[in-house]
Amino acid sequence: MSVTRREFLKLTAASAAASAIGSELMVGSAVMGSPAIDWHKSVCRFCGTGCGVMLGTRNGKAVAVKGDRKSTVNCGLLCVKGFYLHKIVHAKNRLLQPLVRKNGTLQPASWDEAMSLVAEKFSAIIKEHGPDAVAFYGSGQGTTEETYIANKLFKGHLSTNNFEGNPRLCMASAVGGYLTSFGADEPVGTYDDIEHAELFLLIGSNTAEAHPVLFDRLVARKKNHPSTKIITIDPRKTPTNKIVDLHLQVIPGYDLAVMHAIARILIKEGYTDEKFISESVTFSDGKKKISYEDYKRFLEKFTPEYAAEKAGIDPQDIVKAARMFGEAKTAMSMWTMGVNQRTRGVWLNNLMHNIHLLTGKLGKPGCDSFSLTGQPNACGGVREGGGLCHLLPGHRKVAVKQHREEIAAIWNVPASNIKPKPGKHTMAMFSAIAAGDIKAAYIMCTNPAHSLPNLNKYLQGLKDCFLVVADSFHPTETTRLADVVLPAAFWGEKEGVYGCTERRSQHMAQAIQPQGQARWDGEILMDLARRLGHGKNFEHFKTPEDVWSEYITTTKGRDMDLTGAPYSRLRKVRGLRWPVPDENHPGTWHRFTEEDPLFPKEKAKGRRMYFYNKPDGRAVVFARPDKGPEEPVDADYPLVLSTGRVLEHWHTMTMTGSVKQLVRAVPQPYVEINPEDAKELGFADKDTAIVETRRGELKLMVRVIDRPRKGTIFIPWHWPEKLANLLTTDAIDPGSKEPEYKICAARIRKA
Amino acid sequence: MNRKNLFALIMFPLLFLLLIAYACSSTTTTRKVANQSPVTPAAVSEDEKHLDVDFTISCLECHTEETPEVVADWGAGTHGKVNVGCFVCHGDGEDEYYASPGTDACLSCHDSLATEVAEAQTDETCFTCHDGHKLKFHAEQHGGFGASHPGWLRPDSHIKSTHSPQYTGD
Repeated sequence: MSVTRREFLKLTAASAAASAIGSELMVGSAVMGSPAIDWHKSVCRFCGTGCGVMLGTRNGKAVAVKGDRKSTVNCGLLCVKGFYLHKIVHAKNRLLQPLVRKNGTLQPASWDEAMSLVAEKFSAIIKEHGPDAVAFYGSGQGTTEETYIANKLFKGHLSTNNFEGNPRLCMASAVGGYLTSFGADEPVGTYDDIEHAELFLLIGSNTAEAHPVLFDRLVARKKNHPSTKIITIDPRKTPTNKIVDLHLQVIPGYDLAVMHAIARILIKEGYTDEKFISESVTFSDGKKKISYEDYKRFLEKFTPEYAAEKAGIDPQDIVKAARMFGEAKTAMSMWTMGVNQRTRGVWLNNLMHNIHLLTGKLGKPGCDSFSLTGQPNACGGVREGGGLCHLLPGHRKVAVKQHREEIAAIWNVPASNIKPKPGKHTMAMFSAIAAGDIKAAYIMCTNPAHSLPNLNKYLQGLKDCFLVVADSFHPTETTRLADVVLPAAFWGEKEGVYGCTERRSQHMAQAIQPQGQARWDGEILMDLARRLGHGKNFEHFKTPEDVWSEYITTTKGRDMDLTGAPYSRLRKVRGLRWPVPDENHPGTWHRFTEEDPLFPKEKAKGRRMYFYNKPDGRAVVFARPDKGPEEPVDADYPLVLSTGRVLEHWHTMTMTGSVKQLVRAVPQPYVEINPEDAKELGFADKDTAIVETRRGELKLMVRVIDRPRKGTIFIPWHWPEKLANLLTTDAIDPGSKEPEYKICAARIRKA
Repeated sequence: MNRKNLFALIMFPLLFLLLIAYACSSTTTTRKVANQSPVTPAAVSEDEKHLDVDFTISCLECHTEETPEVVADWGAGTHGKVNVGCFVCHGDGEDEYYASPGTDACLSCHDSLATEVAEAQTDETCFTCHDGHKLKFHAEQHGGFGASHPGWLRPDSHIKSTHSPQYTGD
């Protein structure tokens, strides 16, 4: 591109004028260029992308954050949340001392007083009502080491499987999808596939706001390869649409039919990889094996017209989407909560895998069906670490005798300590708390009194039970209800490992000492273990490294083998993607292929992919019914309510709510209404409305905007003063037990 | 003479003149961040305060109406596309406000540029070549300093991120 000299001078003058003040800062820039800052390698505390960040400290304080340019995940980039992490470390709402409820109010107490009370109550309740009268509820934000210690204490020593974590509310359906379709949890490929994909299918994912750095990678991919196509299936127009080529704006809850219709076209128009299907795929209706022909017959009903009518879209768009997917040499699907937080989340996950299995677009560069994670360590600590009521570390199950025996041996407890029956899944756990059957709960690093669906049903129970909350922040909706609040060390104040979406485990350095009296969660849990008489099996955990070293022995020989990823190696590298069976192994890009160290060549007999966790080595294409949402709209509640996120805030805002800049970006909660609906209902922008569902109501500012589809409204769920979850439904997916946060029926009126 | 020197030759007198002009005419006091402790956030100086407007709405919402051309420039650039908001560089407007931001915010993501600038021993800043909102790469078209940023891992360098190399740390 040529520019005339005149234009050049004009441009230069403009930019120089704009930067007249900035210019003095560059050389020896105020903070970033200061040699007095020590930089520590870490991982972002927010979403599941797993961006490498460097935490800058000076005189024992966190003063700056920059992207880790050596991380292949983000190449130095940050999103606007990660950018302010150092401010959150020293936020005003950090809890710096233990609190104990006395005469109805939370009052400062010593660690000894607080922990004595916790131990005394837990002991008494277990003695009187048995171990299943207590529960642990953890988080995809705790480190793997913390979840491991808690798991060992509760399942191995207290003998209760009432052990859950918030990933149940977030990605349990993705787990269910991977297990049923491929036989093993977590994606086949990695982020590296992004740079090889010709087509991206985003469904139920507002990537631009929920996974901004991955969105940056999509933007870069499209910029460098303008032929790259992006399709999105979403009820809402979102900032992601800026780079989207085709948007199927479906009615919430009716996308299963669309996915079947796409599969039907892929088969009918010859886009399938018949060799791959014959070698590596089998078919099922969910109850029994069916034939390829049966599956084709099942699909017959799903014409583009049928699906389009159900989903309220143009049938031609379905045809277009299918052809784009079929014609692209490489294609990657990505999804998040719009697929997972559904009563048929597992089924929809299956349908995503279906189109990749039918076309063989799996297990090779640029091809994957890839579930994006919402929390930084949901994959690592909870899915891999076995932090749910039916799991044990290393992708094991409590129901399997051999698994219990293997873990009991590592934990140095009799195998009978680990109960074979899964404990109560999250919603059952909080129902049992509400019913008074669970009498004491230990909540670590999460905020269920804000994040559970249909909150009105569960809040009183949380108030009534003996509630212990370990958190870095106070007040939160949950700490307000607690009997004991324990100040937990925050990110940067502790060492540990996070495992992100792409099977990558990354080490985070401790950069500063915990502030005030805050302690590492692992230390708090081990103190509790000692006080409950189980200290012996935790004595050897002097550091997080000791915990990790024991944890990785549980992964040896498993599909998620991390034997080759001890701290000594993790401290140096920018994470490792399992399976990584030995210290010379570089980590694995595509599972179930020859790249995978666990790939059984003899059994595979020349097949490109062998799903070794399935008895026949074949992945399953499912003929699942296209069931709609649990609470469809009707005459009384004619609008669909969906909840979700904004870029600048995260989950329950305990972190982003303390950063003025982020609050500034989105200062208030609101309800989004489509302009057509607003006109019909007589709403103007900034009016006040009352949104009502069968479970509760909420007064909110109206934002009239062409984002939600006509007939749907959207509320971001971050604000504690306007709890969107008073409205949401707690209906769950029967397979994954994940609630349908994304869809319920609502109505709206003027306040 | 290499391209960089040529660019500097054009830029320095120009910048110098502009700075003089700026110093003479501007009623705004230059914020001397460089002289402050690097860990103390710069206070908002009286004459650099953001207008006391409606802080219950977002920066973008107000500026879409008040300065649509700036919002359009920003929106067309990569930062707009990936939603790096006003507040990242300009502050929240109340506690922290930078009418003409420094480069700290740039370097949080484009960190290797700091090393590069230091090595090049130049007084140029990001804004010497880049317009703060459009981000247009003026110098690139003329082979200036910004033509290559050899050490700068731009977002599109993701394309180089291959699977096998494992970094061994700093």
